[in-house]
Amino acid sequence: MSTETAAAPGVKLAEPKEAMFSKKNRRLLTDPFNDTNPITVQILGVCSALAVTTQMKSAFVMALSVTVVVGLSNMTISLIRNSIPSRIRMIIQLTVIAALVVLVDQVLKAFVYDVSRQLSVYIGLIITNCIVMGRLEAFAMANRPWPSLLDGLGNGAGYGLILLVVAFFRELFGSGTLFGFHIIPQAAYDMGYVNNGVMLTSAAAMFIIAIIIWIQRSVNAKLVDVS
Amino acid sequence: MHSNKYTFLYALGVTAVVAVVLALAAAGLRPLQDANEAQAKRIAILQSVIDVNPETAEADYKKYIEEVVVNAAGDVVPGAVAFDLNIKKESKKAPEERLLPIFIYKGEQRTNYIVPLQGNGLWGPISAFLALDQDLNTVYGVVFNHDKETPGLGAEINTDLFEDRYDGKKLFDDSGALQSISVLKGSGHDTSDRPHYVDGLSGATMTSNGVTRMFANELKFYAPYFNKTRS
Repeated sequence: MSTETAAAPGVKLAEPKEAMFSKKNRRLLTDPFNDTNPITVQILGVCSALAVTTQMKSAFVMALSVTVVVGLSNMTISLIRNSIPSRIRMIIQLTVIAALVVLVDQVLKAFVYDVSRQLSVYIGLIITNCIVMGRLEAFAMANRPWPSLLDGLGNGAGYGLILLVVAFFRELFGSGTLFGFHIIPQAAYDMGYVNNGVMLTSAAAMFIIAIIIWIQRSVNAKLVDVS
Repeated sequence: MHSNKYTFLYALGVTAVVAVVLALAAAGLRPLQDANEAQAKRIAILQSVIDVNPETAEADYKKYIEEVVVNAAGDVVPGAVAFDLNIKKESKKAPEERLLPIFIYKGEQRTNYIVPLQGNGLWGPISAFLALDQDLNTVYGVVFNHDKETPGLGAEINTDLFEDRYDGKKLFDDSGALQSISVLKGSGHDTSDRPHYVDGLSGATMTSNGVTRMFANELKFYAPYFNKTRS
């Protein structure tokens, strides 16, 4: 896992006083949407992006859960980063992530029971989502809590954005609905329109993610590989 | 480099803190989760016989469903609450001591007997509510549930596509012997003249076998009650 996480090394913030939303801090939030997107640039968390994107609703809850987990675990680890014995730092990181994931799972079961049933194993699998541990190792271990929280939320949101875009196409063309509401009119079905079954398979998510990466790289010059 | 003692104590401390936080959260959220589970159970029971609106499910359940607990000899056990019976615990008891919950739907036009089933799929427990017609032989409808079957394969058991295949199937043959209902291996079988078989799911043979076993194992306990009630 750790070999995948070197893509976006954290910046050490040395200045003692810095505005809460300084330019640098704002970039922590916004960069993951494009330049350092966890899915399309760092290629992390693809597994769950394939699994939970057949419907907007489950993609949205998953995105929210991951954002909460990355944000809070980044902040927690950053708070205790100087006291963690380096020999067991990964285990400590995992413990914090696992505890937060269990908490999220319990909260979902208590408040949105059907969604939690639908996401079933994937909530538990947030623990193994490389984005979470990647951000802890690359950022939280070397930065203060506030920037770490922002970095976590930014990365979670960047992940969520891709999830929602993929889910949008898969649900619209696979089931003709968005968030469960029928979008494609019955008239179209009467005229012979058929939902695209391929969109419901994981392979479709792979195609969509690939197309997103393609478009992103042709627009964003910074991502073009020089070699 | 931190000392060994520090490392050990640190690990212990983190574990203790995490344990306390999780225990508090679990205890605090339990009532809400239990309520959700009970509601999901009511909806699943109703779903095997009617279209359910989650908003009115609780009222509908009270209005239409009558609960009965029977023993393995087929006699009604007074005083036991069917809804609260833990089927998993019951299935570990000796067969003659087992208590069996039955939910009877009394609608305006028809009566259905709903039997809860519990078994194992490939990765974890699976369960079902099987609704029978008044002849206690013909399947009216079934609702499956699973915890962690593979999405797209075994998890397909709780889709309408699979559940509808049980409609009209029979549990008993003409001589009155319990045949149960088996899931065939693979999909694409024509089962219209085979009342004890349903078409299977390609790629989900283990889960399908779990469903077959669940039907065979659990229904044999109910057979005495079915026979008594019918005659």
